[in-house]
Amino acid sequence: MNHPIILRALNWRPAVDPSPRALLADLKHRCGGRVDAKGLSTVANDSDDSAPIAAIVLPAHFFGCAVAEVLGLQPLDHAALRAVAAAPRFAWEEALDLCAQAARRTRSVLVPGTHVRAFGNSTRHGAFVVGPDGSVMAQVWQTHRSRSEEWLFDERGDELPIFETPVGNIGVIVGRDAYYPETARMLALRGADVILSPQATAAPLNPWRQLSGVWKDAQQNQVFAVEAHMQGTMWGRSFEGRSAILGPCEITPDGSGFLSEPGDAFFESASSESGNLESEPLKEEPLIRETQVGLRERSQAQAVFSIFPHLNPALYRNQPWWQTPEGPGGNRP
Amino acid sequence: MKASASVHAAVTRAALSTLLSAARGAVAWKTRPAAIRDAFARLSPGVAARDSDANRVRVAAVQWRTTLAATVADYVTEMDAIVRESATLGATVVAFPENNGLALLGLIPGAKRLARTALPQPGNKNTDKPSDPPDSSQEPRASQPPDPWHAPDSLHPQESPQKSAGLSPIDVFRMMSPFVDRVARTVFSELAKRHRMVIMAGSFLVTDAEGSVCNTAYLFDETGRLMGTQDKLHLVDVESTWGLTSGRTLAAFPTPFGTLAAPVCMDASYFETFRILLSLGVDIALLPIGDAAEYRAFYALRGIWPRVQESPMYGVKAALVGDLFGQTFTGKAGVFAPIALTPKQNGVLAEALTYDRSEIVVADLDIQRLHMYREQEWEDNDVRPSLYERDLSESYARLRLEGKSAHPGQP
Repeated sequence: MNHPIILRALNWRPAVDPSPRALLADLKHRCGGRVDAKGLSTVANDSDDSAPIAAIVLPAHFFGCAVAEVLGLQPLDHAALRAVAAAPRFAWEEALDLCAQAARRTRSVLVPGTHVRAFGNSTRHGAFVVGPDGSVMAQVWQTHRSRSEEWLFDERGDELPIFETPVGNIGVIVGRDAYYPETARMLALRGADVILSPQATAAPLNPWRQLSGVWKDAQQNQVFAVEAHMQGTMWGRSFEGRSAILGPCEITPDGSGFLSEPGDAFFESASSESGNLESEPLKEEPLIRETQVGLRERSQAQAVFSIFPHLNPALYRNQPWWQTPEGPGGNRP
Repeated sequence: MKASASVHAAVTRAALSTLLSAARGAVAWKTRPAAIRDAFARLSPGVAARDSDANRVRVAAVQWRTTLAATVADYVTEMDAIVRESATLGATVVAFPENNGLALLGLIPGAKRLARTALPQPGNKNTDKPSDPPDSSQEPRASQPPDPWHAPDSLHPQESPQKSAGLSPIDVFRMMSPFVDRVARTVFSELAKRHRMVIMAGSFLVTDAEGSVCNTAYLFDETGRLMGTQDKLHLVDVESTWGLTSGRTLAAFPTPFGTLAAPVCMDASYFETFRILLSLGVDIALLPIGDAAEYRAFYALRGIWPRVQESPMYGVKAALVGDLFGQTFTGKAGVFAPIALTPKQNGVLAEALTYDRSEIVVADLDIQRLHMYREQEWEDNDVRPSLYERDLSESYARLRLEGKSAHPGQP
């Protein structure tokens, strides 16, 4: 299968950019239905159903803000976060319906950011996956909880499903799961071609820190990946990141692993003669990053730089690093 | 016709066996203990490195432009100069590159000629023998043992090295193994003792107890004691094609200033390696690399740099550079750490300025600060044993059963 796949990541600033409802309603015109020869989107009209299938990722907490909007809440404070987590069913369904319409209109697999949801006395952080036909394919929960997230949710998910879609086999990595290499490895070993990852990274932006997340996962598993970053301030916390479309270094013209525009700018001097990596200040981020890829390119990268055939299960079985007490915090040496 | 070819192959193998035996004799003579002793006798006294603080240690990462050593004395002199300079820079730990023993192939008669062309690699079509004039630096031909490189179909088979009637690289590595092992153990033990340095000697292609050829790193303490060896655990394609075997165990080596390990090159492309090291309490991973590829900054960034972010520890990368056997080795030696422990917040404590010249970079490592970071600041320290056991462990087992990994065939 090597039909063109369009991967899109949206930057979004709550209370600055259009509201979730407005953005979802306008998503088709923002994304366009197809991309031109240079990989840039062109606007298609609503009746155009010949556009290629795409995958779109919205930043972390976007869907929670959509539910807040349905409830008429200001989503930027802690009270709204708690109210959304415990929101009545109609609010979830209405927000999901907005996403379903957007997925259908854009012929996209849509990951509409993330949300925190209450289950009795506990909470989880997760993301919906909506198919191109508007159906909800699943709700994926974050499987690890990092130090800085202990206030946000308390229960971790136990499943990392793979979705067979027209875009390829998709895996979803929620938030800081990207910083746990086991997550992407589990998905890749079970056949993921593309990883979709809504992100919200604490400001100030450190490109190096971001590189140690989804970029590192894409390289280590030779998959395509889409990371969409929330910008701005919520709950008194500032977030900053650079949305990007990623792939194995071997298939990117500058060898950077960045397939979309930010790759060129991420480390301006990366391709300089000295080869030294020095970070550059962030430039103004556009709303959408997008690129067109083919799954065959991934195979080409695997042929040039082969990783999986040299995995050493005998070693991992002899020395299983995970056999330490379960639970977040202080459980590694 | 078939019988004739079979007889020809048998005769060729017999001739090559004789030639290899002669080469073995020459290398044995050149690496005899007395030759190594004599080489050290010509050196000036060691530079005693400063004492390591219980929690702070200065490490040196070597970037060495390799050349073939015509004599073992050449090799000793070169290695001593590097350790001496590292000690002068105040380092008490020094790390050498991957395939630090390739230089010793220069001890084989005729090797300099071979070094100008390529060893067989997957897809490598450059299989022509060199047609250079005889190497004038060699001793007179009359006193030389037969030259195995001149054997028909020797190191340059057209297809699979394993199936060739001639020699494959693995035959040469196996032949050289006892001598390379002797040199590695003797030379670096003596250098460690003389300069009071902990030395990760880089890696060498040597046979293990079962006779398999492994890419093995050696680690010596400051008294010259061999602390242990570490076989490379994740090979690259060309090593597999040559018939090298990957290791099955990762070792950790406690020292008064911290716990060390010596994974080899591609081992740093796999997060699993560093997760295991972390579970073993390793503080400093000494990583020898030798990449036969054009240098590209982002490619290089896929190795030890993300690994020490995922599994917090210090990483010391020593790089082999230069041209040998038709390959150009590039890389930057460097010292890496979790981003929060680096002044520029970039995960880099020190890095070579070039990727093709000899350099030594040094950095100070604060082990106590590392431990504090792990315990109090490390953001992503959650672990999910049940999830990994169910999903990860099963996937690994399936790869083995399907023969899609190292050491296939067993669950």
